Amino acid sequence: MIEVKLSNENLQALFPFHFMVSGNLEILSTGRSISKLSNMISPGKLLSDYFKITYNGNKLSNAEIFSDNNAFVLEENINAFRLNAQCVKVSESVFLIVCLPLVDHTFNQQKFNLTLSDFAQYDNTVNQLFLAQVTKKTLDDATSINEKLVLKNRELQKTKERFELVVNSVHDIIFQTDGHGLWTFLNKAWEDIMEFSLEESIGSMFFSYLHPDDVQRNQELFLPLINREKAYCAHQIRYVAKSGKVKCMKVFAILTFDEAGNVNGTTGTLQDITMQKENAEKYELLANNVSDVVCIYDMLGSYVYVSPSVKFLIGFSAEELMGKHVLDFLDTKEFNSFEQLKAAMLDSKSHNKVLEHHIRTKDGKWRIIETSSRIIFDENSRPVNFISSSRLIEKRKRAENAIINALKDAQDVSNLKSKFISLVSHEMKTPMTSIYSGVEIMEMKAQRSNQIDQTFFRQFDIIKSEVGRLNELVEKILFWGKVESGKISTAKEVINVVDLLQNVCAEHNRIQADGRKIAMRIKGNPVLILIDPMHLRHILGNLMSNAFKYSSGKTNPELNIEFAKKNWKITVIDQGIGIPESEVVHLFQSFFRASNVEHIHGNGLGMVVVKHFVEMNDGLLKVDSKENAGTKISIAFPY
Amino acid sequence: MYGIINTAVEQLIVENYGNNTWLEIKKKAGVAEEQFVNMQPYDDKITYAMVGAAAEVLRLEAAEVLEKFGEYWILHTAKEGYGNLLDMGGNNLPDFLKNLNTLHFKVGSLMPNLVPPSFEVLELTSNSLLLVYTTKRIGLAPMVVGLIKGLGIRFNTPCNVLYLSDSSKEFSHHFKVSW
Repeated sequence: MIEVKLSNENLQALFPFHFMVSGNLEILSTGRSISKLSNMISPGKLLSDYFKITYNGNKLSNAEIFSDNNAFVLEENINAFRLNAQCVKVSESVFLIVCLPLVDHTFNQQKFNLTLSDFAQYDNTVNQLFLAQVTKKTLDDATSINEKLVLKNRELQKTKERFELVVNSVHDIIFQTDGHGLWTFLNKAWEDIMEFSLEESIGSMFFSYLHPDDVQRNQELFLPLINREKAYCAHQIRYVAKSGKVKCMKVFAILTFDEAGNVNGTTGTLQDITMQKENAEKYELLANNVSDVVCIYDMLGSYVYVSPSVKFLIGFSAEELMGKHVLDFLDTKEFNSFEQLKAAMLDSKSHNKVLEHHIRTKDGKWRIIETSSRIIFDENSRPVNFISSSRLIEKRKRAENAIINALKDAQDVSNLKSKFISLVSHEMKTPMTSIYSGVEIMEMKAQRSNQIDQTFFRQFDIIKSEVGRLNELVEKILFWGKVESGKISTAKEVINVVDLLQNVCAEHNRIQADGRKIAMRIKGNPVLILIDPMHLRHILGNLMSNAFKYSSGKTNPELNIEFAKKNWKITVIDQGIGIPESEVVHLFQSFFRASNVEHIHGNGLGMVVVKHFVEMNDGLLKVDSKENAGTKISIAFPY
Repeated sequence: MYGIINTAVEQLIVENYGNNTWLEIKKKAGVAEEQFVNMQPYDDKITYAMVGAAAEVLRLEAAEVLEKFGEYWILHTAKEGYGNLLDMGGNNLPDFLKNLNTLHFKVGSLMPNLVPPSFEVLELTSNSLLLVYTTKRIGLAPMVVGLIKGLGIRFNTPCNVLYLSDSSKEFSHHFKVSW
């Protein structure tokens, strides 16, 4: 037992958890923080009234508490908080029991609202509490970091798997070598193309797979890269596969460096272009002998082969174009059509596609060419190349433009003519109406006057007849003007054409002064027909009129109607004066009149309108005529 | 500064402005660390660079960033990670401020590289005190304002903090705290 003397002030500061007790464990006073643990504890009561006093689980007697072996535990009866305790003899009858709250699961500083102010400044309990808290937090952080690490590792593994999948699914060989030229990595494509397994290849020298004739050249091609004169090297070189097949490879390689910046190897790709080269050679002979420029491109659009004739087309030599991209020579505005063409070719697989476009010449000018392209496929139907054939079309374009311009001019003239005819015709109709009315008034007055010579009446008839003829001509011109300007549309109906044709014939039969009649015959079974009835009436009316007019004094004109399997046909035949053979071709020109009809009235528009209407109804018109023998006009319409 | 401070700056930015903003700030500050380790000491320059970059990217004054950080530190980081330690600080605002030195002393025994500030409290009235903050670090006084305001929220004691020092370059800074 230690005997010490303490001032009350120091006692509170150094031991905020303490009890001052008498020899029978009566509480004389308590530390300032004891009241936070239990406000029931008060001086005058026995310590054993509030606490179980034990050591190693055994209850201690008063003598044991005050003995030399005086470390023990106070366990509060109600709240069960526990205090480590040690007894210090102050005097013969006064003992100081110094306590420290036990830091374990039963201790909860929050439960008792204990703060740093409640403990001594250097209290071991507080130190342990801080240590426990910081340790727990550090462990939590470590766990959290570990979990993140696990997640990152999983992501890394997935990325690695995806990377391997991509690397092994590409058709090109992806490689890495060390600084001595030994393969350190090859993807699956190496096995597919070179037929060597990865196991036997990794660790072997890359140049042992080169074609013996290309080893020296390969060294020369790699030299600028090794000397760091170039950032990469790209060239074509031959490799030899396990089976002895020669493989032409397009090489792309760059250097790799260690952390110190020293070269530690190379990496890059080998693209098998054997098939492309074979294709190129196959077409080379042909291409060298044609005036068109033949080009072969890889699937990205780089030239693999260009025929020598390109020099005459754009000034660049074939060698200058090799390896360059086709878009380098195209107008940027036309890139889109080029890409569309490429997509269309890949879509349609076999069809030739034709594109008119501009191409840049060596001296920076632009020329128009026509390029027809298609895709070359390998034996597995995989696209390997584009092949194109190009030619200059500047002359043709000029000719086309000239034709287009001429057609436009003709159209303009035609429009002008239509307007003129329409204007003149309308201007003629008014005076003709006045003349006709004037003559009728004069004739009427003459009839009322007995003094007028009868020859006047004959002259009146002539004037009226001529005005009528002129009026008819104007009407036809106006009608033709409408037809020509597209103002007459087609209105097809399902009709009984036999009835319609019979009506037309009846009208014509009725007005014939010589009493002739149309001989009408029907062959086949009549059916209902889809046609514009106004057009059909006009067609037949014209043909009937002509047949009567140009066969005066001859036999009856004939009208044959035939309903065949694929079409139906009308044929009008007369035995009249016919048309001179050389003039038949002009029959459908506006205002044309044959040389043998000068004495017969006509205006040269009837047949033009007939042909136009026949075509508007999808019909086909045929003329057979012989001068002084007669004319046969056949029209076939589809059902 | 220990990594826990830098982690708290990161959390403050991510929670309030999103991860992309944090990445932008981190890049601007030239921070190479993928992740800060809480119990590892880092150069103070990193923290200063992050605060500077945050101010630039968020278009705030550096003092505003520091004040926000002080408040965030009390209400989120310290509370979430070291709640029990914080509880030990005191049950009300003036008690906590009085215990600040002891708190840092205790933490310092566990973090050997800790360069803690010191705090002295002088009671002025029953609802105001003078806090003297002494540190070797320059320019962090606005953070203390945020810390005190955060404590005011923690103890549900709305308070006013008045910074009384003239220069941010002084080692000792005086704050009048009233509630």
